Order: sequence, then C-alpha cells, then structure tokens
Amino acid sequence: MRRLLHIALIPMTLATAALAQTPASDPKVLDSVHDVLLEVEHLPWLFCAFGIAFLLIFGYLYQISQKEKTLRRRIAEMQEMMEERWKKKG
Amino acid sequence: MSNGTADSTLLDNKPAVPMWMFGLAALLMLVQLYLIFCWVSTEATMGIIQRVFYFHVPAAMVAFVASFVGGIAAILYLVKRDSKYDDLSLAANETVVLFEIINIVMGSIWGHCFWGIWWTWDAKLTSAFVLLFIYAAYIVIRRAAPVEARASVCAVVCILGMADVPLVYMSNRIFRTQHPSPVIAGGKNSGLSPDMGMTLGFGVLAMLMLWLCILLLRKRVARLERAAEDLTRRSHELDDFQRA
Repeated sequence: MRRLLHIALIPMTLATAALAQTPASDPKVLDSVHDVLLEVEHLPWLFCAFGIAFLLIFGYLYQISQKEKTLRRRIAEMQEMMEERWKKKG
Repeated sequence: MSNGTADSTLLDNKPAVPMWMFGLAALLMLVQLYLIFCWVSTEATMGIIQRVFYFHVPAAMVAFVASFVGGIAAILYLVKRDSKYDDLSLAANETVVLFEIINIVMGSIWGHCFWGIWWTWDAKLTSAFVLLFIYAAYIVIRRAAPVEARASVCAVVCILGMADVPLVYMSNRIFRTQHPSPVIAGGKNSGLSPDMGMTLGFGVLAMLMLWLCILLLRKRVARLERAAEDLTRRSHELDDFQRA
C-alpha cells in the first residue's frame, strides 16, 4: 500500500515543486523523484518473483495432496481386493 | 505370507501435519510478507528489488538444511536398512529441488534487474545449479532404478548432493564471483542493518516452518507409496501362489 502511495507521490512532488516555483532541476526535487523511482522501478519484477515462489509452493502442496488422495484410494481398493481373495482361498 | 491387511493403519485420517503447525507456518509467512513489503527499509543502491533477498536467502538456507537432513537419513538407511529413513530422505530431497528452484528463480530475477542479465556461470550460481541438477537427477533415478536397488542407489546420489552444499556456501568466499559478497559471516565489511537482519532472521524461521510442514506431508505420501508397492507385490505373490 505504501508503495502505491509512493507512485501517486511522484506527480504530486513535481506539482508541488512547480507550484512553489522551484526549478524542476532543483537537486532536492530530483533526489526525491529519484528515491521514489528507485522504489517503484522494479515493483512488477518484485511481485513476479514472489508470485512465482508462492505458485511453486502451492503447486507442490496441491500435487502432494492429490497424490495422497490417489494413493489412499488405491490402497483401500487393493486391501479390499486382497481380503476378498484371501477369504475365497479360505 | 501376510494377507495384505497389515497396513490398514496407513489409512487413518490423522493429519500428517498438525493443524497448529500449518497455522503457525501460515502466520509466520504472512508476518514475513508484511516485514518484506511494508516494514523493512529499502536498500539504497539496489532499490526495491533487493527485497527478494529476504526470500531468496532463506530458500537457499532451507535447501541446505533439507539436503543435510536427506543426506543423514540416507546414511542412516545404508547403515540400518530401515525404510523409514529412505522415506525421510526422499521427502527431504524433493524439498531441496523445490527450494533451490525458488532460490535460483528469485536470484535470476534480481540479476535481471540489477545486473541486466538473467544468468552468469560464476562459481556461486554454477555450484547452486549443480546442486539443483544432482537432486533433479535423484528424482529421475528414483523413478528409473529397479525397486530392490533403488533406495541404496538414491542414498549414494543424495550423499553426493549433500557434499555439494559446502561448496555452494563457500563459493563466494573462496572464488571471486559476480554474486554479491556474503553479508552473514562474510568478514569485516559485511553485515546488515538491524531491521534487515531481523527480517532475514524471521524469513529463515518462517521458511523453516513451512519446509517442516511440506516435509511431513511428503513423508506421509512416501509411506503410502511404499505401502501401495508392497500391496502390489503381495498381490503378484498371491497370483503366483494360486497358479502353483
């Protein structure tokens, strides 16, 4: 949320500087804009990195849970079948 | 010959991971995300992309821990020949692949933003890639090897993987690498500001908790896989017995 506020702050900083009749090349203004740009420049890549990480984690968890379900079903079926065969065998 | 019902305890509905453990892992992960995105200060040179560090490094640490757990379990299997150690080794080694992929992908994205390249074959990155490659090979060998020799062959492969971990850890201490110098135990000029150190420490804790949950889940599945294989084998034995 704070980052989004920072994005909104870029035009506001520039507008404030203009209203105060400060030259746009004022080092203080440029520094402030640079700081904000540094913050937001790679924001999409940051979200992309965390998105991939969580996708991998949840994907793996989902795969494990599906595998467990399948195995449980298969074991139950096989146990039932084996019991029947042993009963028939006496 | 048993009648195949001895493994009925496998189908109990007791969860592999207690709910409190899952809850704690989720809570720690949420707090970690809050710390990363809203609390910790932005690094002056790299900017916001440096925040991947608080996930990239814990993922690597967890992969190292998993590798040691898998390796020690493999050694115990070779000594005691108890299949529970093989199950633990399999579970731990699969998590090495998961966390190494996370580590490498996040590092690669950081490299793209900061270096302007996705990948370079320097010592740190190459040794990390070799680690991932060994454990990926472990999974492939596990599926391809004959059942009777599988556990022993895989144990040897994962012991090799474990031996690569110190190399990955030491590579940017021994060699000159493009990868940033170590910030923990990296000498005089290394170190982190307190808020960054705290976020990293918390990240390691959160990631370890998450790993423990995944490990226990995977271990349960490994046990079920073994039980299914056992039942199949018994079924074949019964077929042979009836034919005879």
